[in-house]
Amino acid sequence: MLTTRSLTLPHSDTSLIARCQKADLAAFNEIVARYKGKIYNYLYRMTGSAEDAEDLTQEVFVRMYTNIGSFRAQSSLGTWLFRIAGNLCVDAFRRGKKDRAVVQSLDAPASGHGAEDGGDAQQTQDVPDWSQEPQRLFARKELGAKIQAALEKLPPKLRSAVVLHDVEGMAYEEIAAIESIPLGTVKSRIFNGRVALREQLRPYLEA
Amino acid sequence: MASIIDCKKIQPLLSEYVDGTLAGDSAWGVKLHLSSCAVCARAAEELSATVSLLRSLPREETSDAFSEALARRLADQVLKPARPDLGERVREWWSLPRVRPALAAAGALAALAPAALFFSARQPAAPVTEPPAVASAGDQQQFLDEVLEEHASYASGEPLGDPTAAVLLVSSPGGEGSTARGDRP
Ligand SMILES: [Zn+2]
Repeated sequence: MLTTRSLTLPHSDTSLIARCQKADLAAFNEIVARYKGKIYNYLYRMTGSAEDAEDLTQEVFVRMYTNIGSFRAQSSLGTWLFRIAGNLCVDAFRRGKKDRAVVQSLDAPASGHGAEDGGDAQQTQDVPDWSQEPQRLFARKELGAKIQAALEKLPPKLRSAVVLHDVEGMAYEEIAAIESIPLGTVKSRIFNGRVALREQLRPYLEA
Repeated sequence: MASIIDCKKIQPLLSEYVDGTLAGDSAWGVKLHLSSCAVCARAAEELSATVSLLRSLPREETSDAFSEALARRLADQVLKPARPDLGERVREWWSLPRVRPALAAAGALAALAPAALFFSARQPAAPVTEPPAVASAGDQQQFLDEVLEEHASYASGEPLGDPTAAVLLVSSPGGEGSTARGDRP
């Protein structure tokens, strides 16, 4: 339901692209309005930073504008935009600042990873108390932060596959198109990503 | 009873199994195994719970300043270098050999125009320079008008080509008070 195919808005992506290729700013703005939420949410989950996600999302649309002339309808607009976003992420990680995941072992226990976490003995095992109403909102926020932290510990390739599938709700086939990888690779990345997350989030799993 | 070998075959399928995307017979095989293997059944439950956690994440949204910042960035990074600004275009226009002498003359005369008008007001019997001077000032104004008009129509006909138009068009629905960077959880 969150796939890029399910759009029934007034203008089709195809007509918007055609107009955008003729330098129609309204069409460009409509594409931005249509996709910025999805792209931003993906980039937020990938980077864990609102600032970086916003910066990269803007760059996605600048690149889209720059390259719209070479867009061929072999892939959907959504696929193309997510591919740009993914590539920008890889570049950003390569530039060095964002990627702590690669230096961390997936087998590391949920606690005691990395020097920057400092004394984090209490970080892991306290399960939020859902019964106390005033604390519920805080607990929910807290849980969201734990999930995000766990995501950021995944290697980027696994993280991207899991976010696209389990957060953005994309089908394996769409992810294969975005990442330009075989279907089997998509499935194994999602599997490995989920298994790693399961280990990180074990205290929060309600079985 | 399920064997360890079965478990090793089953576990890689659990991710797809919890997605409900396994083909019929594979799904049936996994289901059968899970009914007799507590270890794999628990693994499947935990994977499913992990997916539920991921799906429970709130959707994050761009700040209110997003559209305006994007328009500015588009203008700065993409549009500006491709289009010479008005000043450059005026200088280009001036450098065209066929117009320069005429305009230089008109410009020189236009500089005298206020004086000429002053004299003409006081002295009805005007010197010979008066009519061309007034006409020349008009010519120069007309020239600037034309350039400005051309720029404006250029911009409206091709809005993406004009940085200012881009900013105006993109930022118009946001209204004011949109400079704050939205509160984030
Ligand atoms: Zn088993």
